[in-house]
Amino acid sequence: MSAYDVYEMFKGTIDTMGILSISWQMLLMWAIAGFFMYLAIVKNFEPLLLLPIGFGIFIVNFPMVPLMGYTSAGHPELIKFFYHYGLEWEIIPCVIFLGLGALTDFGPLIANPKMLLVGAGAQLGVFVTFTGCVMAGFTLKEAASVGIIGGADGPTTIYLTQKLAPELLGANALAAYSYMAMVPLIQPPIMKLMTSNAERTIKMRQLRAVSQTEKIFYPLVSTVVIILLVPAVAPLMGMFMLGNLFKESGVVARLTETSGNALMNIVTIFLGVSVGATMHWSAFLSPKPLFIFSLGMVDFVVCTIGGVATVKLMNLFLKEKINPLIGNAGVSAVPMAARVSHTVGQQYDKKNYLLMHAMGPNLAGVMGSAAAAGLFIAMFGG
Amino acid sequence: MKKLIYMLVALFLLSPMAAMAEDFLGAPLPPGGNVVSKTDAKMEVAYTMTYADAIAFYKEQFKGSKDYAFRDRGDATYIEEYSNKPWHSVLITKTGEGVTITASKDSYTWIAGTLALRFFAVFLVLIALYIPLQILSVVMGKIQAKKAAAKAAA
Repeated sequence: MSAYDVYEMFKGTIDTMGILSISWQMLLMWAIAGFFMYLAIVKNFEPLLLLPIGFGIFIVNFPMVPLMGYTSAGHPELIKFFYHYGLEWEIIPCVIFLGLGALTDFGPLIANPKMLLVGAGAQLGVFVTFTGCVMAGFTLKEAASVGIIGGADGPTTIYLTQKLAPELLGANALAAYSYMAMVPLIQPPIMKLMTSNAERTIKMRQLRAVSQTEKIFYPLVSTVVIILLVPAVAPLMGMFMLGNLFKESGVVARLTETSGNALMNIVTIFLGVSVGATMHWSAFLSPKPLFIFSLGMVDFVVCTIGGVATVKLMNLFLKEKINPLIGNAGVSAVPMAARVSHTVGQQYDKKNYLLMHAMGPNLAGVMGSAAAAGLFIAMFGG
Repeated sequence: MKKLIYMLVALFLLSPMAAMAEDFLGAPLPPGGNVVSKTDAKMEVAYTMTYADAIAFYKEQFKGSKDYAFRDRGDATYIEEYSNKPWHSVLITKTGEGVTITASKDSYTWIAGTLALRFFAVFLVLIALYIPLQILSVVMGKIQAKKAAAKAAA
């Protein structure tokens, strides 16, 4: 073996190493990934999603990694496999909704169905942000996918974005989950600004008891109404209501347990890693994702305003007033937004327990954001 | 004399151009039409081509792009554009002699209007859900009240 052969061997080995191909853009993405992992681990901000998303961003921003491409045999590589079959095929968001349905108690909404209007009002930001995005030069489909961030519903955001503007998936999902985690910071100042002391101390009558029969009928009635009016959202709503029917029927405990725990945990891992892995520096380091982040904040703010304003408008016509502090809960960050309503209410009256009242609009917000997404899909197509 | 003939022939050959459709803000329009009306916001052109040919023209123009939607309206086809081009839509309408193609400019009025409609539609969807829930709530309330009364009597 000659010296040249030895040199070639070493060179060949070094050429397969990524260390010589690392770039400043990758290092910057590591920092961004680290920030989101910090938010998840240290600050406990939506850790179930932000941790796998953060790690997905981290791991895909290495040179020469076989993760988001295709093998020489034409098979998708590891994360590409999760992304293709889970997200491109729009399976994962629907399975997550199955789990969410199995964990949700619609009792507070059934007991006070007029909270559905608050859930609708809280979608205001979705449409305002859409207009802002269009004025900023986004295409209509991109604008719709960014607007839905304000619905504060991760699976709905991911489902709609994958359908209309898959190139924005990473930025939209990251914005949605980050702002959902920051709801306790974003909403209280708006709630206090929009309400008077007298309004904040409105005590609401205790919610009536909801029978098991009503809870069983609810997913069936919701499925009929929403899917007849917005068929485009059938995959999401159908799975959501199926999960809820599992729970409320009381006869399929194993399916309920699996849907709400093991299955949801599995798809959450695949979802987080896949979404994070779409954020290669070449796709993320551009003005659009940064703009999406700032618009996401505006979206949440306007949605909160929409929810509170809707309650104040309803109070003009109702004899029994609703505490407008629960209007923010129309932003469907369940149950965080409802807890914010309760916490802010407690600051003004320690004996005012708003949590269960706020769960009504919180759950209505899930329906509202799904309806808004369905209307966008019907408008722009898939 | 020859020059005059050549000029007349040239004028004859060039005259269809006056009748040919212009581009409207980049919206493709088939050649050979007669401009019926034109404003800053809209341009209407009449053609003798068949409805099927007009549809085929646009399907060819927009082949492979996901930013266009074709909506069948019976005697008309409405083509919407979803990227950020200056024009928003093309409407192909059947007429007695052929088709009329109307290209419309993109406008924030349309965007804001359609969004307002859809925001209102979200309310309608949830109100449609509210009605059966309210009925269910009233019915179950009455049943529970009856049961409570029966229990109290017993």
